[in-house]
Amino acid sequence: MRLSQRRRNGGLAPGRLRLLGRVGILGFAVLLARAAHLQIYDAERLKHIAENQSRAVVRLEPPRGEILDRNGRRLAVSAPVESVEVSPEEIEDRRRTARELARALNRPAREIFERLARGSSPRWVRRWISPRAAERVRELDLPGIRLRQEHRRYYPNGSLAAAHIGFTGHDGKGLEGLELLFDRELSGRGATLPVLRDARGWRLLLSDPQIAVRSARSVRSTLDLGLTDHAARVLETAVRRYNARRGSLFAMDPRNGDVLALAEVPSFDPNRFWDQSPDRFLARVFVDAFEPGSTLKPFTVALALEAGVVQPHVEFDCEGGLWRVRNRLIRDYRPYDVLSVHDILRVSSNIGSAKIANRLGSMRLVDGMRRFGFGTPTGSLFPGEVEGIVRDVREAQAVERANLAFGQGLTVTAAQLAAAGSILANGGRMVTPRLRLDSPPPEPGKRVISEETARSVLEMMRAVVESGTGRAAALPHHAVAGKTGTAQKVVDGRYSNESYVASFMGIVPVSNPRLVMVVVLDEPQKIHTGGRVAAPVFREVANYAIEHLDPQPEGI
Amino acid sequence: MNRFGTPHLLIAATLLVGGGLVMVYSASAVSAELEQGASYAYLLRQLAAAAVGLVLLLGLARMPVVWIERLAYLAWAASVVSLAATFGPWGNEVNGARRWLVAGPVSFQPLELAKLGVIVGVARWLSAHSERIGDFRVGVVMPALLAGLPAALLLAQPDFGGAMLLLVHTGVLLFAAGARLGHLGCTAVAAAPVAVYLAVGSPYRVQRLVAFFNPWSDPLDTGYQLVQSELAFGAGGWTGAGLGAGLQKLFYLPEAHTDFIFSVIGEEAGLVGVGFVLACFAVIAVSSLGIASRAPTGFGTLLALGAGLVLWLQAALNMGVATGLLPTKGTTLPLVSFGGSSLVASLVAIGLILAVARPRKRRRAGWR
Repeated sequence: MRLSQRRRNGGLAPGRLRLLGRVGILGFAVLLARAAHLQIYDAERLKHIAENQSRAVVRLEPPRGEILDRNGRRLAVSAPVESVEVSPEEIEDRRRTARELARALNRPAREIFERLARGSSPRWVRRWISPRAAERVRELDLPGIRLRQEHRRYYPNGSLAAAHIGFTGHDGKGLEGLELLFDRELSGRGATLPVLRDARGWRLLLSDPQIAVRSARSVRSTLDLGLTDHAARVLETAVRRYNARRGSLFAMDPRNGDVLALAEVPSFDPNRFWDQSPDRFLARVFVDAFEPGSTLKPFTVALALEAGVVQPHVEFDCEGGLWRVRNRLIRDYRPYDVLSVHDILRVSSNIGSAKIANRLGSMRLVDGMRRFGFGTPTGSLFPGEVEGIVRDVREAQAVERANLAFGQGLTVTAAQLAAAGSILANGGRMVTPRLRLDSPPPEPGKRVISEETARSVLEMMRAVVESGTGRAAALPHHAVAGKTGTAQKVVDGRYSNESYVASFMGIVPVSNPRLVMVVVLDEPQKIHTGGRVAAPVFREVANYAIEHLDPQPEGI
Repeated sequence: MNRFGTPHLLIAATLLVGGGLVMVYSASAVSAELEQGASYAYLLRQLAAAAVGLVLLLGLARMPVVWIERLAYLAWAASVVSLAATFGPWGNEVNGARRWLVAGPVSFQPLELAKLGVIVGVARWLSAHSERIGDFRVGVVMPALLAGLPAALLLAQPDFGGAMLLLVHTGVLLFAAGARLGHLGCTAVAAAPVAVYLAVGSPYRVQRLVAFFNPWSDPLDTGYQLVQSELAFGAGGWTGAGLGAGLQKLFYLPEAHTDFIFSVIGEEAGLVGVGFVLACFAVIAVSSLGIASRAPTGFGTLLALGAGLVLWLQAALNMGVATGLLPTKGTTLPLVSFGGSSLVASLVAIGLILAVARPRKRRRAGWR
């Protein structure tokens, strides 16, 4: 039977063929079941994993907006620059790639080799390379090595107002100064776009980036590039001539608060901030408070006049230059017997100022100083701006009151001094230093003193420059009001006779003030009075300003 | 016996080849664009192979089976020679294995020829000596030699999987030819330790085995292929992401257009597409077995069976690997995967089955 069956089928076993067929069908059924398991039962989980590995987002940033000066000249710009990126997996020959890349980039091969280390995600080999280096890299056309266009920040004016303009980090975010203050506008609103990512790390955009990326806005600052440049040069010369540790300059328009010029000496090159001393990054006009000394006296006088406790011609006994208050001896630079209020300011008598303050009383003096803006930030919003220290003084504290009257025992910033000086200059209204030109025009500020008082103090300060301690600030064609300051620095807890801060606060022109400037020199050597050291800086810079600034800037 | 025959076989094969061309294009377009500069580079080569294969198919389908029977040992010898030639000057070493012959622009994988050569050789031997298949010499020694020589050459390439495939084909033919189960069993038991030794003897095969049993333990390295393949199926779901819309072929799947094309189908055409491909191969299996069972001669039966095996058994293995049922082994999906040698050999296999199925003149069937 078996034999005959075989015969009929060519000598073979048909049952076995049938069995094979069944096994085959069974196999396919198992495969189908397995596929169904993966594609239905497990689908959710697997799909999730698959999506996670192939979906990514990229962040697109528009080029950072420019910082311009008030006339549209560029203070900070973004320029396209190329960086070298590596996808380590795609490199064919690490050693050769490193060698050729090192030659193109002009870097040690070992350093490059280490950058090409294994891994899957793309990373930087070197950022911000020169256009010529980029060209060399492009010509090499090495697998796994790509050039990526980025934007880097350039400061075309180098060290000019560097501390105030600030700088950005490698990621393009503002780190200091105006770059930080205006960071949101300058950065613009980038876009986060979904992308497909393949296993080699290539990305494919899923939507049109043009729609999504909002370009960043440029910001016009109130600074005047020409004036700032001039101020920096003059200040630099003065710092060098008098061997000062450092110098600061703050110039603003008293009518609308526009900050026109800022300078710090020594400065630094923000294009290479990373290899320079960080203490130069400080915009000291905002962040460094100092004891102003006599430069504060006009405010004492203004408060006394405003309170009606003195008149400009009222005379005080100046005690021959030496007056004891409690156990403190107050000296004048030169001895005087009797001085009017007007002359007290003109010759900068400490004794006279202390006596004026006595009439005013501690409470009104301290409150008044605070109303002038001392002890609070100016409202400029400059990053890290400090408030200075104005302590409460009780009526019984005669020594402290006397000190405060001539600018000791409190600290102020140059910005505060200029803003307070602007109140004297603009007829008695508070004004906030403004750094951004395209911000809404400032509201007229709160009245601090009457117009009459302001006028009166301004006249006294004019005498300071005409015939007092500030003669070095005088300009040939314009009347200048000003006040000098020569403050002893506190060294080891007591006032030093060697370390001084020389300062000058000037206002020009007196008839219709357009510029208030504060010049501070820290520790000038040998010659150290504000009148000799700081006033000439004012004259040089103000002279330029009068000639070059618009007579009627916007926002008035 | 089943009624499936030539029309079913042709329809299934046509659908697979046509669908395969679409999937090869989908799976290879991105890498072809990147590497060859033209997204259709692989598609064109596949089309050329399909044309060559079609010509051979049509020629073989009209060839009397006796001719094939006469040429059987010659075909076997040719495959042995071509396997041996991989060690010669035309042999091309890729990743430490000499699996290819290269002559100018044409490259060719002798394994694909050897699969068919061994089948025709063994089929002829067994059909010629079917009366004495119970003899040890007829039922064990000669088939072992016919399969063993090319298998040894494959092992030397080394191509462990290819060698195993030849032995399995031969075993199935022996089984179908009515060999003693005792002989088959003993041979299998005797060969098992050798196979295990070879499998475990090389570290990468051990790794593959470990990865197979738990691919998710190391999804980024040894388990990578399997994990990515499973992800592709999962991402496809019921109806798939749509043709061309799969993401796993973006270099997540290794060999997306060759060994893992079934995964791409799973992702882009979903369970529907997977079921369709499985159904087509099941039709090929059933119709080739039907043709085999209706064949007038023993050689015809074994030839149709063996040629069918080359298609559906390998397909089942390939799909088993892609779905994670079998350990990773680089095989193509016949008729579908990219690969000239594979496609041509698959079409030749169809041609051989059709030759057996061809209605013939009465005089040839004298002893029916």
